Amino acid sequence: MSDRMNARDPLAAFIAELREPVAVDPGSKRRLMDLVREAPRPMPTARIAPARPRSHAVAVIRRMRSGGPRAASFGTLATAAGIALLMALGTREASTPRSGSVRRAVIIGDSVASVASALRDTLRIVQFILTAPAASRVALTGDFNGWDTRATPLTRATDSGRWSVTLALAPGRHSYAYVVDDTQWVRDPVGTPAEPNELTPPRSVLVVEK
Amino acid sequence: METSDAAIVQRVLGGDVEAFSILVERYHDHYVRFAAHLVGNREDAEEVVQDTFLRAYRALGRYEERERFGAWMLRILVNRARTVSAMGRRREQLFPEQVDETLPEAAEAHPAERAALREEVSRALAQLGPDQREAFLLHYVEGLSYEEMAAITGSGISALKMRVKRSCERLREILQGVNRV
Repeated sequence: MSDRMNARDPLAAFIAELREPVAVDPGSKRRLMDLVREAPRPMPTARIAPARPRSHAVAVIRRMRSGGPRAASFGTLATAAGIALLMALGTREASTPRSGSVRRAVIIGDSVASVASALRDTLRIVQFILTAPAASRVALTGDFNGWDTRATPLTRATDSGRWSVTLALAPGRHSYAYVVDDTQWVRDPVGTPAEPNELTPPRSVLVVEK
Repeated sequence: METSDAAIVQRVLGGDVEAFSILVERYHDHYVRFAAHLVGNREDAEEVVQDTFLRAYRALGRYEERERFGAWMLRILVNRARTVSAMGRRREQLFPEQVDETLPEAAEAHPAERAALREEVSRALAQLGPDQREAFLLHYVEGLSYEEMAAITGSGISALKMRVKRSCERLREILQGVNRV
Protein backbone atom coordinates (compact mmCIF):
# COMPACT_ATOMS: atom_id res chain seq x y z
CA MET A 1 0.00 0.00 0.00
CA SER A 2 1.62 3.24 -1.03
CA ASP A 3 1.09 6.66 0.48
CA ARG A 4 2.93 8.41 -2.30
CA MET A 5 1.02 11.09 -4.14
CA ASN A 6 2.14 13.03 -7.18
CA ALA A 7 1.46 16.69 -7.75
CA ARG A 8 -1.17 16.00 -10.41
CA ASP A 9 -3.19 13.83 -8.11
CA PRO A 10 -6.44 15.69 -7.39
CA LEU A 11 -5.92 14.85 -3.74
CA ALA A 12 -2.72 16.93 -3.60
CA ALA A 13 -4.59 20.23 -3.96
CA PHE A 14 -7.28 18.94 -1.64
CA ILE A 15 -4.73 18.23 1.09
CA ALA A 16 -2.99 21.58 0.55
CA GLU A 17 -6.31 23.29 1.12
CA LEU A 18 -6.88 21.30 4.31
CA ARG A 19 -3.54 22.52 5.64
CA GLU A 20 -4.53 26.17 5.29
CA PRO A 21 -5.38 28.02 8.52
CA VAL A 22 -9.05 28.32 9.34
CA ALA A 23 -10.86 31.24 10.82
CA VAL A 24 -10.81 31.31 14.60
CA ASP A 25 -13.00 33.43 16.81
CA PRO A 26 -10.54 36.01 18.16
CA GLY A 27 -12.20 35.94 21.58
CA SER A 28 -12.09 32.19 22.00
CA LYS A 29 -8.64 32.05 23.63
CA ARG A 30 -9.53 34.79 26.08
CA ARG A 31 -12.74 32.97 27.03
CA LEU A 32 -10.82 29.73 27.40
CA MET A 33 -8.33 31.33 29.78
CA ASP A 34 -11.23 32.80 31.79
CA LEU A 35 -12.53 29.25 32.25
CA VAL A 36 -9.06 28.01 33.14
CA ARG A 37 -8.74 30.65 35.87
CA GLU A 38 -12.08 29.52 37.34
CA ALA A 39 -11.19 25.83 37.23
CA PRO A 40 -9.70 24.02 40.22
CA ARG A 41 -5.93 24.21 40.09
CA PRO A 42 -4.26 21.04 38.90
CA MET A 43 -2.04 19.28 41.39
CA PRO A 44 0.85 16.95 40.70
CA THR A 45 -0.33 13.40 41.20
CA ALA A 46 1.52 10.27 42.12
CA ARG A 47 2.88 8.40 39.17
CA ILE A 48 1.36 5.05 38.44
CA ALA A 49 4.78 3.57 37.97
CA PRO A 50 6.87 3.88 41.11
CA ALA A 51 9.78 6.30 41.05
CA ARG A 52 12.10 3.38 41.75
CA PRO A 53 10.74 0.52 39.64
CA ARG A 54 10.50 -2.73 41.44
CA SER A 55 10.47 -4.99 38.47
CA HIS A 56 10.77 -4.87 34.77
CA ALA A 57 9.79 -6.34 31.59
CA VAL A 58 11.99 -8.74 29.92
CA ALA A 59 12.92 -12.32 30.48
CA VAL A 60 13.78 -14.20 27.35
CA ILE A 61 13.74 -17.79 28.37
CA ARG A 62 13.42 -20.28 25.61
CA ARG A 63 14.16 -20.54 21.95
CA MET A 64 11.80 -22.59 19.85
CA ARG A 65 12.64 -24.18 16.56
CA SER A 66 10.97 -26.48 14.15
CA GLY A 67 10.79 -27.35 10.51
CA GLY A 68 7.04 -27.94 10.42
CA PRO A 69 4.35 -25.80 8.83
CA ARG A 70 3.39 -22.50 10.48
CA ALA A 71 0.17 -23.57 12.06
CA ALA A 72 0.10 -22.75 15.76
CA SER A 73 -1.61 -19.52 16.70
CA PHE A 74 0.33 -16.81 18.47
CA GLY A 75 -1.94 -17.08 21.50
CA THR A 76 -1.48 -20.82 21.77
CA LEU A 77 2.25 -20.44 21.70
CA ALA A 78 2.26 -17.69 24.28
CA THR A 79 0.16 -19.77 26.64
CA ALA A 80 2.38 -22.75 26.25
CA ALA A 81 5.40 -20.60 26.67
CA GLY A 82 4.07 -19.23 29.93
CA ILE A 83 4.22 -22.70 31.39
CA ALA A 84 7.77 -23.06 30.17
CA LEU A 85 8.59 -19.74 31.76
CA LEU A 86 7.63 -20.90 35.23
CA MET A 87 9.65 -24.05 34.89
CA ALA A 88 12.66 -22.23 33.57
CA LEU A 89 12.67 -19.50 36.19
CA GLY A 90 12.52 -22.12 38.89
CA THR A 91 15.82 -23.53 37.77
CA ARG A 92 17.76 -20.51 36.63
CA GLU A 93 16.56 -17.43 38.48
CA ALA A 94 19.27 -17.68 41.10
CA SER A 95 21.87 -17.11 38.45
CA THR A 96 19.96 -14.30 36.75
CA PRO A 97 22.00 -11.10 36.78
CA ARG A 98 20.23 -8.38 38.74
CA SER A 99 20.48 -4.65 39.15
CA GLY A 100 18.47 -3.73 42.19
CA SER A 101 15.35 -5.80 41.60
CA VAL A 102 15.38 -5.46 37.83
CA ARG A 103 15.14 -8.74 36.00
CA ARG A 104 17.20 -8.71 32.86
CA ALA A 105 16.94 -10.78 29.74
CA VAL A 106 17.96 -14.35 30.29
CA ILE A 107 18.32 -17.04 27.69
CA ILE A 108 17.49 -20.27 29.45
CA GLY A 109 17.66 -22.93 26.86
CA ASP A 110 17.46 -24.07 23.32
CA SER A 111 15.16 -27.02 23.67
CA VAL A 112 12.06 -27.55 21.60
CA ALA A 113 8.69 -27.30 23.29
CA SER A 114 5.97 -29.57 21.96
CA VAL A 115 3.83 -26.73 20.67
CA ALA A 116 6.81 -25.34 18.84
CA SER A 117 6.91 -28.29 16.52
CA ALA A 118 4.36 -26.42 14.45
CA LEU A 119 6.64 -23.46 13.97
CA ARG A 120 9.24 -22.99 11.34
CA ASP A 121 10.87 -19.84 12.65
CA THR A 122 12.88 -19.27 15.77
CA LEU A 123 10.96 -17.36 18.41
CA ARG A 124 11.87 -16.12 21.83
CA ILE A 125 9.59 -16.09 24.81
CA VAL A 126 9.49 -12.72 26.53
CA GLN A 127 7.78 -11.81 29.76
CA PHE A 128 6.72 -8.19 30.25
CA ILE A 129 6.24 -7.01 33.81
CA LEU A 130 5.04 -3.67 35.12
CA THR A 131 4.44 -2.73 38.74
CA ALA A 132 1.42 -0.46 38.84
CA PRO A 133 -0.55 -1.00 42.06
CA ALA A 134 -3.05 1.79 41.38
CA ALA A 135 -3.98 0.61 37.90
CA SER A 136 -7.29 -1.05 37.03
CA ARG A 137 -6.13 -2.27 33.65
CA VAL A 138 -2.79 -2.57 31.93
CA ALA A 139 -2.18 -3.55 28.33
CA LEU A 140 0.94 -3.99 26.25
CA THR A 141 1.13 -2.28 22.89
CA GLY A 142 3.92 -2.40 20.36
CA ASP A 143 4.97 -3.00 16.81
CA PHE A 144 4.44 -6.74 17.35
CA ASN A 145 0.67 -6.29 17.80
CA GLY A 146 0.17 -3.39 15.40
CA TRP A 147 0.08 -0.91 18.31
CA ASP A 148 -3.29 -2.28 19.24
CA THR A 149 -3.99 -1.10 22.78
CA ARG A 150 -6.54 -3.82 23.45
CA ALA A 151 -4.91 -6.89 21.97
CA THR A 152 -2.49 -7.79 24.75
CA PRO A 153 -3.81 -7.20 28.28
CA LEU A 154 -1.56 -7.90 31.25
CA THR A 155 -2.72 -10.04 34.14
CA ARG A 156 -2.41 -8.77 37.68
CA ALA A 157 -0.89 -10.98 40.34
CA THR A 158 -3.48 -11.51 43.06
CA ASP A 159 -1.45 -10.23 45.98
CA SER A 160 0.57 -7.43 44.45
CA GLY A 161 0.53 -4.58 41.99
CA ARG A 162 2.57 -6.58 39.52
CA TRP A 163 1.13 -7.01 36.04
CA SER A 164 2.59 -9.37 33.50
CA VAL A 165 2.12 -11.03 30.15
CA THR A 166 4.25 -13.50 28.22
CA LEU A 167 4.67 -13.36 24.45
CA ALA A 168 6.60 -15.16 21.73
CA LEU A 169 8.54 -12.62 19.72
CA ALA A 170 10.65 -12.89 16.62
CA PRO A 171 14.26 -11.80 16.96
CA GLY A 172 14.84 -8.16 16.14
CA ARG A 173 14.22 -4.70 17.50
CA HIS A 174 10.78 -4.12 19.00
CA SER A 175 9.19 -0.90 20.25
CA TYR A 176 6.57 -1.12 22.96
CA ALA A 177 4.76 0.72 25.73
CA TYR A 178 2.26 -0.04 28.45
CA VAL A 179 -1.22 1.48 28.39
CA VAL A 180 -2.60 1.99 31.88
CA ASP A 181 -6.35 2.29 32.42
CA ASP A 182 -6.91 2.59 28.66
CA THR A 183 -5.52 6.12 28.48
CA GLN A 184 -2.08 6.60 29.94
CA TRP A 185 0.91 5.46 27.93
CA VAL A 186 3.80 4.45 30.13
CA ARG A 187 7.30 3.70 29.00
CA ASP A 188 8.94 0.72 30.63
CA PRO A 189 10.36 2.31 33.78
CA VAL A 190 13.69 0.55 33.41
CA GLY A 191 13.63 -0.46 29.76
CA THR A 192 15.64 1.22 27.07
CA PRO A 193 13.82 4.41 26.08
CA ALA A 194 13.01 4.83 22.41
CA GLU A 195 14.34 7.85 20.59
CA PRO A 196 11.99 10.77 21.40
CA ASN A 197 9.70 11.77 18.59
CA GLU A 198 7.68 14.96 18.26
CA LEU A 199 4.30 13.34 18.58
CA THR A 200 4.71 9.82 19.81
CA PRO A 201 3.98 8.91 23.40
CA PRO A 202 6.70 7.32 25.53
CA ARG A 203 7.99 4.02 24.23
CA SER A 204 10.72 1.57 25.03
CA VAL A 205 12.88 -0.58 22.85
CA LEU A 206 13.58 -4.25 23.26
CA VAL A 207 16.13 -6.10 21.17
CA VAL A 208 15.42 -9.81 20.94
CA GLU A 209 18.56 -11.52 19.81
CA LYS A 210 18.67 -14.63 17.66
CA MET B 1 14.86 30.11 22.96
CA GLU B 2 11.29 28.90 23.24
CA THR B 3 10.27 27.52 26.61
CA SER B 4 9.49 23.82 26.40
CA ASP B 5 5.97 22.57 26.94
CA ALA B 6 7.14 20.47 29.88
CA ALA B 7 8.67 23.51 31.57
CA ILE B 8 5.42 25.43 31.13
CA VAL B 9 3.45 22.53 32.61
CA GLN B 10 5.74 22.61 35.63
CA ARG B 11 5.12 26.33 36.04
CA VAL B 12 1.36 25.78 35.93
CA LEU B 13 1.59 22.95 38.44
CA GLY B 14 3.67 25.24 40.62
CA GLY B 15 0.79 27.72 40.76
CA ASP B 16 1.43 29.98 37.75
CA VAL B 17 -1.96 29.57 36.08
CA GLU B 18 -1.26 32.30 33.53
CA ALA B 19 1.56 30.22 32.07
CA PHE B 20 -1.13 27.96 30.65
CA SER B 21 -1.95 30.75 28.18
CA ILE B 22 1.40 30.06 26.48
CA LEU B 23 0.21 26.55 25.66
CA VAL B 24 -3.13 27.94 24.53
CA GLU B 25 -1.37 30.36 22.17
CA ARG B 26 0.92 27.62 20.94
CA TYR B 27 -1.71 25.02 20.08
CA HIS B 28 -5.19 26.55 20.00
CA ASP B 29 -5.54 27.66 16.38
CA HIS B 30 -3.87 24.57 14.99
CA TYR B 31 -6.24 22.37 16.96
CA VAL B 32 -9.28 24.36 15.86
CA ARG B 33 -8.32 23.69 12.25
CA PHE B 34 -7.91 19.98 12.91
CA ALA B 35 -11.13 19.75 14.91
CA ALA B 36 -13.06 21.74 12.32
CA HIS B 37 -12.11 19.25 9.64
CA LEU B 38 -12.95 16.38 11.97
CA VAL B 39 -16.38 17.50 13.13
CA GLY B 40 -17.29 19.66 10.13
CA ASN B 41 -18.14 23.03 11.61
CA ARG B 42 -16.40 25.73 13.58
CA GLU B 43 -18.83 25.97 16.47
CA ASP B 44 -18.39 22.32 17.41
CA ALA B 45 -14.66 22.52 16.70
CA GLU B 46 -14.13 25.42 19.08
CA GLU B 47 -16.18 23.64 21.70
CA VAL B 48 -14.09 20.50 21.25
CA VAL B 49 -10.85 22.46 21.54
CA GLN B 50 -12.04 24.40 24.58
CA ASP B 51 -13.10 21.18 26.24
CA THR B 52 -9.77 19.59 25.33
CA PHE B 53 -7.77 22.39 26.94
CA LEU B 54 -9.91 22.35 30.08
CA ARG B 55 -9.61 18.60 30.45
CA ALA B 56 -5.89 18.82 29.88
CA TYR B 57 -5.60 21.58 32.46
CA ARG B 58 -7.48 19.60 35.07
CA ALA B 59 -5.40 16.50 34.32
CA LEU B 60 -2.09 18.33 34.06
CA GLY B 61 -0.75 16.56 37.12
CA ARG B 62 -0.95 13.27 35.26
CA TYR B 63 0.96 14.52 32.24
CA GLU B 64 4.23 12.63 31.84
CA GLU B 65 7.13 14.76 30.67
CA ARG B 66 8.46 11.89 28.62
CA GLU B 67 5.46 12.25 26.34
CA ARG B 68 5.16 15.18 23.97
CA PHE B 69 2.52 17.59 25.23
CA GLY B 70 1.15 18.05 21.72
CA ALA B 71 0.58 14.32 21.32
CA TRP B 72 -1.05 14.07 24.73
CA MET B 73 -3.41 16.92 23.83
CA LEU B 74 -4.14 15.48 20.41
CA ARG B 75 -5.25 12.23 21.99
CA ILE B 76 -7.70 14.08 24.24
CA LEU B 77 -8.91 16.11 21.27
CA VAL B 78 -9.54 13.06 19.09
CA ASN B 79 -11.61 11.49 21.86
CA ARG B 80 -13.64 14.66 22.37
CA ALA B 81 -14.22 15.02 18.64
CA ARG B 82 -15.44 11.43 18.49
CA THR B 83 -17.90 12.15 21.27
CA VAL B 84 -19.22 15.25 19.54
CA SER B 85 -19.53 13.42 16.23
CA ALA B 86 -21.31 10.53 17.91
CA MET B 87 -23.88 12.95 19.28
CA GLY B 88 -25.07 13.28 15.72
CA ARG B 89 -24.87 16.98 15.39
CA ARG B 90 -25.80 18.31 12.04
CA ARG B 91 -22.85 18.72 9.74
CA GLU B 92 -22.62 22.24 8.50
CA GLN B 93 -20.71 23.99 5.86
CA LEU B 94 -17.24 25.03 6.95
CA PHE B 95 -17.90 28.74 7.50
CA PRO B 96 -16.92 30.10 4.09
CA GLU B 97 -18.08 33.61 5.02
CA GLN B 98 -15.56 33.91 7.84
CA VAL B 99 -12.76 32.76 5.59
CA ASP B 100 -13.04 35.92 3.55
CA GLU B 101 -13.19 38.08 6.68
CA THR B 102 -10.26 36.59 8.52
CA LEU B 103 -7.99 35.47 5.72
CA PRO B 104 -8.17 38.45 3.36
CA GLU B 105 -4.75 37.89 1.81
CA ALA B 106 -5.40 34.28 0.99
CA ALA B 107 -8.82 35.04 -0.42
CA GLU B 108 -7.86 38.22 -2.21
CA ALA B 109 -6.61 36.77 -5.48
CA HIS B 110 -9.55 34.55 -6.40
CA PRO B 111 -12.16 34.80 -3.68
CA ALA B 112 -14.89 33.02 -5.60
CA GLU B 113 -12.67 30.12 -6.60
CA ARG B 114 -11.25 29.82 -3.12
CA ALA B 115 -14.65 29.80 -1.49
CA ALA B 116 -15.79 27.16 -3.97
CA LEU B 117 -12.72 25.03 -3.22
CA ARG B 118 -13.31 25.25 0.51
CA GLU B 119 -16.91 24.25 0.03
CA GLU B 120 -15.88 21.34 -2.13
CA VAL B 121 -13.30 20.22 0.43
CA SER B 122 -15.81 20.42 3.23
CA ARG B 123 -18.43 18.44 1.34
CA ALA B 124 -15.97 15.78 0.27
CA LEU B 125 -14.70 15.29 3.82
CA ALA B 126 -18.25 15.04 5.08
CA GLN B 127 -18.82 12.05 2.82
CA LEU B 128 -16.17 10.00 4.57
CA GLY B 129 -17.03 7.89 7.59
CA PRO B 130 -15.75 9.27 10.92
CA ASP B 131 -12.94 6.70 11.22
CA GLN B 132 -11.77 7.27 7.65
CA ARG B 133 -11.89 11.04 8.02
CA GLU B 134 -9.93 10.89 11.26
CA ALA B 135 -7.25 8.61 9.79
CA PHE B 136 -6.97 10.67 6.58
CA LEU B 137 -6.56 13.96 8.46
CA LEU B 138 -4.03 12.58 10.94
CA HIS B 139 -1.92 11.09 8.18
CA TYR B 140 -2.07 13.61 5.36
CA VAL B 141 -2.87 16.89 7.10
CA GLU B 142 -1.19 16.45 10.48
CA GLY B 143 1.60 14.45 8.85
CA LEU B 144 1.68 11.69 11.45
CA SER B 145 3.19 8.28 10.89
CA TYR B 146 1.01 5.22 11.31
CA GLU B 147 2.81 4.44 14.54
CA GLU B 148 2.00 7.88 15.87
CA MET B 149 -1.59 7.54 14.71
CA ALA B 150 -1.91 4.20 16.47
CA ALA B 151 -0.68 5.78 19.67
CA ILE B 152 -3.23 8.56 19.42
CA THR B 153 -6.27 6.65 18.20
CA GLY B 154 -5.79 3.28 19.89
CA SER B 155 -6.36 1.53 16.56
CA GLY B 156 -4.00 -0.96 14.95
CA ILE B 157 -1.61 0.10 12.21
CA SER B 158 -3.08 -2.20 9.57
CA ALA B 159 -6.58 -0.92 10.27
CA LEU B 160 -5.35 2.65 10.01
CA LYS B 161 -3.60 1.96 6.70
CA MET B 162 -6.79 0.48 5.34
CA ARG B 163 -8.82 3.50 6.45
CA VAL B 164 -6.38 5.90 4.81
CA LYS B 165 -6.33 3.87 1.61
CA ARG B 166 -10.11 3.73 1.41
CA SER B 167 -10.49 7.38 2.27
CA CYS B 168 -8.12 8.29 -0.58
CA GLU B 169 -10.05 6.12 -3.01
CA ARG B 170 -13.34 7.62 -1.92
CA LEU B 171 -12.08 11.19 -2.08
CA ARG B 172 -10.67 10.68 -5.57
CA GLU B 173 -14.05 9.39 -6.70
CA ILE B 174 -15.77 12.40 -5.19
CA LEU B 175 -13.29 14.93 -6.59
CA GLN B 176 -13.31 13.44 -10.08
CA GLY B 177 -17.09 13.46 -9.98
CA VAL B 178 -17.05 17.14 -9.11
CA ASN B 179 -14.55 17.95 -11.85
CA ARG B 180 -16.60 16.23 -14.51
CA VAL B 181 -19.62 18.44 -13.82
